[in-house]
Amino acid sequence: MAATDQTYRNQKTLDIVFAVSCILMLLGTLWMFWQDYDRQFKHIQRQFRDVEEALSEYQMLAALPSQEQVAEARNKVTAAKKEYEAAHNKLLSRERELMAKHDLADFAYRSLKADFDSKTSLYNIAVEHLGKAEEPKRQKELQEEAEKLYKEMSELQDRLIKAQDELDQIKQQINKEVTQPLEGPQQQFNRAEEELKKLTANFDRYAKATVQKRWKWDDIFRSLPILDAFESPTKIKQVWLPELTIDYGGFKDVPRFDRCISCHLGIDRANFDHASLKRLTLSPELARKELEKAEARKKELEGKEGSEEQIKRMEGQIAQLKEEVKRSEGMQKRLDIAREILEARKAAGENLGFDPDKLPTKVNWLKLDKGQIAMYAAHPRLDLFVDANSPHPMEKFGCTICHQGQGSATDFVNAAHTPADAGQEEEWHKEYGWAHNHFWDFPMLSSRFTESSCLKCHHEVTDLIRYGSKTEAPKLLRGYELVREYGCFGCHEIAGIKSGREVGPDLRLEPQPALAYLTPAEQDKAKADPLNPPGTYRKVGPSLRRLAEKTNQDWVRKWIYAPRSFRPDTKMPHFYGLSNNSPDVLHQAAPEQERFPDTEIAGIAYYLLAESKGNLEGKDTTRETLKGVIAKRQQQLVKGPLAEREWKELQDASRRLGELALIAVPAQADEINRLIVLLKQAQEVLQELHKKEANQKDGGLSPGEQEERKQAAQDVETRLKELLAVGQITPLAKRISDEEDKAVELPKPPADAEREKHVSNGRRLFTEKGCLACHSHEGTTKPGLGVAAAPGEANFAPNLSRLAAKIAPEIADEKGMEEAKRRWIVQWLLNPTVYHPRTRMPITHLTPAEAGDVAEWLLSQKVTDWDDKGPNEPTKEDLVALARVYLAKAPGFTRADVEAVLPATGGDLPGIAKERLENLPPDADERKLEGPVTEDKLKWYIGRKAINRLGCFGCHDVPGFETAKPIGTALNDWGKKDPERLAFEDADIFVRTHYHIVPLRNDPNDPKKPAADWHAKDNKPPYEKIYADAVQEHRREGFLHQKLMEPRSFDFDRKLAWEDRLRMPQFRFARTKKRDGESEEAYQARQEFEEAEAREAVMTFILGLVAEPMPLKYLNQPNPDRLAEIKGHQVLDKFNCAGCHQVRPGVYEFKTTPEGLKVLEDSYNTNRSSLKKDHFFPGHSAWEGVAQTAADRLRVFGTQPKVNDTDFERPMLVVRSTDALRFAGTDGVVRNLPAASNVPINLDDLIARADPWGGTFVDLMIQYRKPTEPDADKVRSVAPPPLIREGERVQPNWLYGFLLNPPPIRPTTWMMLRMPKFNMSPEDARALVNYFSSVSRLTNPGAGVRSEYVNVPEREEIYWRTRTAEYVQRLKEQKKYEERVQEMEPIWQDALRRRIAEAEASLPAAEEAVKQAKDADAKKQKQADLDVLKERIKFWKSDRGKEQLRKEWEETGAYATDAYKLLTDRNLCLQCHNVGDVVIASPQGPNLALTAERLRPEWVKEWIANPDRLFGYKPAMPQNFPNDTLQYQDRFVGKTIDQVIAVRDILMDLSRVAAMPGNRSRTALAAGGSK
Amino acid sequence: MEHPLDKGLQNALGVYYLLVAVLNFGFAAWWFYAAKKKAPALVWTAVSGVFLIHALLYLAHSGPVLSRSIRDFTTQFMGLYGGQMGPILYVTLSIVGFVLLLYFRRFFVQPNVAWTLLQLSLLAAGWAMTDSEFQKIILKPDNVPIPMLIYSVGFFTWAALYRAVQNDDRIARGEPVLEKLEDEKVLVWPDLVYTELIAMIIATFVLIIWAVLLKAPLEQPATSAKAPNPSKAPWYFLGLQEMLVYYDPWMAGVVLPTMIIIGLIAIPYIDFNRRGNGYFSFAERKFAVSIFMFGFVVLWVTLIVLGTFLRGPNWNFFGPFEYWDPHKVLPLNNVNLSQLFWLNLCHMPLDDFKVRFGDFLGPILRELPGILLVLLYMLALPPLLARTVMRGFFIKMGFVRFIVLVTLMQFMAALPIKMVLRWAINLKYIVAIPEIFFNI
Repeated sequence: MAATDQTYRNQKTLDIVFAVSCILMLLGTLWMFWQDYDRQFKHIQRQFRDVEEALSEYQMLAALPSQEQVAEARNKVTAAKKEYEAAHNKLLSRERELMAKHDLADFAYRSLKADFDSKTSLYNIAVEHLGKAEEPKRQKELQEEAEKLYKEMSELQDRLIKAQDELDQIKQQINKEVTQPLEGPQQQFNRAEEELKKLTANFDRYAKATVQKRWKWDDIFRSLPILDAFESPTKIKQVWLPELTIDYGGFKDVPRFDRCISCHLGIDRANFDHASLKRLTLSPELARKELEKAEARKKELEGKEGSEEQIKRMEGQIAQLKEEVKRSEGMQKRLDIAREILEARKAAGENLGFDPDKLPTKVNWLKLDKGQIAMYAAHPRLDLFVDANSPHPMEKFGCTICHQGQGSATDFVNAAHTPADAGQEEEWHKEYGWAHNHFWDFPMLSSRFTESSCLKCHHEVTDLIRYGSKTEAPKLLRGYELVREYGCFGCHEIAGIKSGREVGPDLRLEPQPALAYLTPAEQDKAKADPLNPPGTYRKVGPSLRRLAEKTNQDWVRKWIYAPRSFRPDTKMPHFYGLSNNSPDVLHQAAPEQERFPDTEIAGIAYYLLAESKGNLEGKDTTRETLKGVIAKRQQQLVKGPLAEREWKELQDASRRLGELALIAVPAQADEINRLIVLLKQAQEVLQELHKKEANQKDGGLSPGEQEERKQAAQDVETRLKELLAVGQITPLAKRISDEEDKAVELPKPPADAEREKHVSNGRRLFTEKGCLACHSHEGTTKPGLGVAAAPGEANFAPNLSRLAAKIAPEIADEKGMEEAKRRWIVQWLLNPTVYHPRTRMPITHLTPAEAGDVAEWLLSQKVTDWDDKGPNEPTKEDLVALARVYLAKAPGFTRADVEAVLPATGGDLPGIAKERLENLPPDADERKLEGPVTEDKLKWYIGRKAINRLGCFGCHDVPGFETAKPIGTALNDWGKKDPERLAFEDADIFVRTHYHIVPLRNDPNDPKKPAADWHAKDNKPPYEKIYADAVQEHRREGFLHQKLMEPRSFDFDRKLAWEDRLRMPQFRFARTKKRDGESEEAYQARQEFEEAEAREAVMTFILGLVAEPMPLKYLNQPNPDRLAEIKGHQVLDKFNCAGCHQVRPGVYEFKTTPEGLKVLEDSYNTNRSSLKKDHFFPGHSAWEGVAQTAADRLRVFGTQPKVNDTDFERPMLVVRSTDALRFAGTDGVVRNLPAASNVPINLDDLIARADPWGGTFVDLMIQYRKPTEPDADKVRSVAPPPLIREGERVQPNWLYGFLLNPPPIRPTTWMMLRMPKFNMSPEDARALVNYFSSVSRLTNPGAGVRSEYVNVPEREEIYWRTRTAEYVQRLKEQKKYEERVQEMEPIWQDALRRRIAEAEASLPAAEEAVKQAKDADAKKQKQADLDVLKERIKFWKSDRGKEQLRKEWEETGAYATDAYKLLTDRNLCLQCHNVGDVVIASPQGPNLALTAERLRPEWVKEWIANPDRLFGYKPAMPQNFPNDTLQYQDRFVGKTIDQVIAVRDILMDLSRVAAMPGNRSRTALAAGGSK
Repeated sequence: MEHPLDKGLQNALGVYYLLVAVLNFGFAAWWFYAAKKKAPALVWTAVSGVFLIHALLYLAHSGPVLSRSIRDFTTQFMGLYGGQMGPILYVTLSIVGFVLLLYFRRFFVQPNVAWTLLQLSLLAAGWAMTDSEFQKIILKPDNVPIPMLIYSVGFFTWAALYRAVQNDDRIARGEPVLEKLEDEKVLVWPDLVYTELIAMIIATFVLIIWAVLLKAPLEQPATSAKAPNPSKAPWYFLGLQEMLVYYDPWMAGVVLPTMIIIGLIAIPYIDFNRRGNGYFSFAERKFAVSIFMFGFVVLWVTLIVLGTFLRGPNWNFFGPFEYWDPHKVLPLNNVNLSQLFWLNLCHMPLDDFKVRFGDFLGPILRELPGILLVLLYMLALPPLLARTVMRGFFIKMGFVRFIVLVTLMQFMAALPIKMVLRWAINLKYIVAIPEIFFNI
């Protein structure tokens, strides 16, 4: 059909449809654009503009100058201007005239100059042409021309000079007549303008910013939808970090884009702090409302009891709010004034750079909620983060590298924010529709765990301790310490190395045997592998190798059953009675396993005791097995070569036997190592020779070789025997030994009559000899037995309160149990390494008798409050049932085998048949089940299997598990473990049914306290909701939290075989102690609270283990000194040095307020008198303070912080400074408040406080001695000394030796205790030495600790010569020279006499020697000697002898002799110190003869000059040479500082100086005691 | 007591039912005004009333919730037979439904019947939405096209059959088909181009609105270390993915899709029926329509629906109201034919073949029963068909076209056959030679 004109559809309808669809399309497009305009971050940025405006406005008003002042200043400006103008006017006509003249002259000068320049060039050209011209005629022409030009030029020059003079004259005239008279008014005017500027600069700046930040038409236009695609005021802001890539599961490293700053817009602006932002919202109405609310709340509280503290807090708040109301109400007025001022200035024609009309007319009160304020606020630690000058600038680090979360997201939910607690979670959910985003694998760390990220780059962890004792990540550090303390690394590998790169903290166990016991070659070999260097951490539990000498099976069973029941604060975790093996759980879930726990415990206890007994007899299972293997293979080896596999087996067994010996008796390491080598050599010789023989077709071995082989065959046997003998533990019953490994007698038990005296002495020794620095004991908390109370709370080492119940050896010889108990304790006290070679317990230097007394006292503290029944004794059926479980899992054993070996039906147990045994590997545990099977065998088998399963060897040295590997999951990168790979199972239900879920843990008003509803309910312990949610949502932190809380709860509701049950034990980290008068409920709530906090600290550490290799430049790579400080800190922690010594001063940072400065000035003034006496050492930190890092705050280092509310108007924190404090007072004058001053700090100004590190024991002793010695400093002087400034004090070599083997320094009769000898490796000692010198270099560069080696110029002759020359000069000046010579006369004569007598006495011997000499040469030689001797005698007898002595004195002796007089003055050093052989009745300080080797010369000088400045407390040493009085001039002529130096010089070379002629005789004189 | 459903959902359901009620009311109005029949108008007004009540209840936030027991029953029932009941039921029902639809097409194409089915499905969907698990799956932005697919395929199937039935009747009566009645040629402008333009605009509008309302669902960044569970193909390939349950990837991913493409290309060349061109008809193209619809609707579309809504983590089957628990494990004890034959029937160990006959011959001998069976299926079936039921086809089409047709049909039938074998005897592979990655 042909087409028609008729359309198929109605054209009009189509048009309408088209129109409608177009409109829809348009609407759709607009909607799309709106969507873009409506994006979250754009809203936020638009609002931020308002915030900026409001804040500028606020700051403008804060800087508002007073109207009068401005007016005045302005008036001054106008006046000055007027004056200037008036003066100017007067001179105007003259000025014009002169200026005209000047301009004319100038013009004349310049045109002349132009002519002159032109002529000069022409002349130069002419001369040049002349030089080139060769024709004489041409030369002449040119010559003439040049001359002409020259003439003209000279003329011009004259005129020019004249013109110049004229010009100068005019200039001078102008200056004199115009400029000078105007100078005064001009300056006045400038000054006035400056004044005005000073008054209004800030104000103007903020006013301008306010105007700029106001929305203007073009801003609004540019931010319209669609248009905002071009140059919009709102746009995504981002940081691009190409090196800090994100690792998407090994897929690709993608550069990081952090867009967080698109919303967190004020993050890097210091003035955007919370308080300021909050103020912007506090309109008068709102402020009043808040005030009313606070007042109402206070009223409400007033009725209640026990809310005094809260009321007090409320009062403070109310006062603050009142101020806020006042401030807020005044704002509008201030704004009006501001406008007035600006308008006035504008009207006055001032150029402000902006239009004041554009300022807002009404104060801009913002509506910001808490979240918005937090979003806009600056980073709280701009000094550390974000700021371009901080160590972590935003441009380099971005945000998500620390905070995690999705940096590329531009809205709240996708950024994967994580709430800090359930309250915030709820809020966010409501406000932003927030829900946990499980699509992003690394959601932002909640603020609880922000510190985790520090671990990414701060691998040493202790590098987060910044200066003094200030910690920057306290929670992380606590977690780190807890992990170290509880030994998590025993089961879980925490290796900081991934394919040779450092990726995190390295906490790995040390190899077994420890490196120190290996030969140097082996040590080097172990250290050589860069991919896997040896670990350094010791196992945290005691060695169980000799357990039978310490305790018994019964106790061990009770202990394993419930360690905390015996010792509530023990580190040992609970393995039993947990959510998957407590009797009631098992009864329900698996009745057949109900008795397994008790059975297993019995097995473990039996195994441990049996093996330790075996160890003492040299018959433990491992040793027997190895012995068997070696003997068998060696027998074969003697006959012929071994096959490859057998040879390997022999070598392996020999190596293991050697290691076993080293582990058991490391004291014999050298001998053992020697024997290992010899044994190995002999074995190799045999194998080689046998092989050689087999390979040689003709003849065989040479006779020599045969002999060698015979010898080796003998050797293998004898060496093995020797090795076994050396590696054998000597039981205590046979021998106990002291620190030098010498055998000692066990002191006899005291007779009954004497008993109490000994017990009392034991308690006193226990209290005073430093035990309480690491241990605590209930018995010392109350006074008794004539000893004062010392309520120590140290928990570095076990609490010994119930020790008497524990020390009960299983093996007691004929001498009886009591003896065995004492023996163990005495040995432990004398030399703990005998029992436990890797212990950190030091040697205490007690005598055997003292140790006996301590043992007596410890054993006398009977345990009455512990009567645990412990687990039930298993029956044979129980044992069989459990053994069957393990046997069924043994390789190669079928169910039928199990039935045959251990029939379930009971009766006799046939055990494993002999034939079957032979097929088992030599170290198979099943070998023990050889028939007939006894209960003991079953226990042994069960025990061994259980230890293997539970991993006891992670913390203890367990015999038989020398080669066992840690059993736990490696934690190296646990922090980024995929939550989908965590088996949450039914933990969610467990949590909801077993705990009382509480919304918040911390009290919102005081986060250090638990919230009101944080307590157990229906016997269910409290559980924070945020973690319950995290478990439900299968988040990492939920799993970790629950794993630490109830590690086995993931087995909840599951049917599991015994060996498949979870094994992680339950730790308790907090060690909360009940306070006096605390109710049981309150105590429990607090316990749960503190436990939760400690747990969170551990979590913080573990969540930080992400093993992300960071680019090298991001890693914290401290300089060598800082690194030494960081590493040293770990060693200090390892040995609990801070338990006794104060190691670092506290750090106190406070704001500088005028009031605070005033108090400081007062303090400076009161100190003035002491300053007069002082010597000043510039550059030294005790005398000269360092510049402060921030302008608005001061930092004080000090000790003994105390709140003092009596001497000051309001309570002040007073510290005794250890470093000088440099500060500018209110008057701007810089003062140096030297160390040892009392620095008062206003408590309100305190910004950060970190109290001194260490010295707990000293504090305890001060308390303990208080009844008899109220002066704390006196107690301090007999207690362990503070180590502040130790690096600048001692010589490194000496310190190194001292640490490894400390001799007594101060008189033991005077001191309370002596430095113990620690079980320290040379590496540890070196680390400590480096620590102290590095700390000195870092904190006190002026002290002169420049290198590790000490230069002592005082021992060089040139030094003495110079000094003596100076001194003789001084003597002559002071006219004391002759006097001294006279004084010396008899001494010289005496010396000469003595010399002659000595020489003459040796004459006969010399003559004899000449006679005796055999050959001619010798005779000649001897004769020469004799001649010399005779010559000398002759010389001495003559006048020249005396003359020479005098010359010697004058050249090298005068200074030393006089100085020595000072040293040996009865009133000075000898008051307290022995000096070499010169001894006094009761010395208090170290013998000064030690000084030369021990102390650094610089320090000795400063110390003698003013001891006070250098110590953390007022030392007993007085200032003997105060600067303000001249003393002892009869002994030593010179200023006081010269005397100080003289004493120091002598001390540094004492042995030589003391032997000098004059001094030898003086020694006797001084020691004689006549003053 | 608080209502178990949250308010947002109730509001949404209220609006949904309100729309359905309006739809029904419109339908009633059509009966009343256009078709001038009062009875159906009354019925549909009543139905509209039922939906209106639903709407009001939900808007008042007290709407009914599908009973727990029904939901649990479905879950349990579908979990029977080692979790196989679900797929069996689903596939069987879809095949049976398909057959019934074709057979009783006259019944189904009646507007009232079709409308009733539609309303029932809408009602069922509304009720099912009160289950949180169902909701989660339906409302997942990824899955939104699928309900659209279901209803559009349903509508077009109905429309085609409706016209086909009418045309068949007309042909039987000797009248021209409907399409002939409107055989007029139309103008390119405006009839074609203008409408295309409008269609383009509306399509763009719909896409914009869709994109604005349902933002692209952003999941975690791709990583090689971790695959999402369930890992699903794009929705249009879910039918193929379903085949992976029954066939080796090599078959399901390479051979079968290739055959589908070849088959689609081949259709014009195979089709010898000159009737039924240019108009809807069923009676004149019974074979072609049935086979194509079986391939498309049953084996492609319903499997997509199955893959989208009923396959969860680990590609396990989940009932519509069942929680997609990644920890659910179903017994996988499928066996190969060789094992069934040699081990279970003849008591001969399988490992023995390689030992006795070597690495090459061994596996072939081992798989001989399967190989024979496959050869039988592929080679013996076509001649058999040519002689029996498809004799007419063979004669009309000639050898080559017949073989192509039968081979394509054999491949198509391979899937349901394998499904039945899997369900009946747990058969894994008919031929399994993993040594050379050859499994059928």
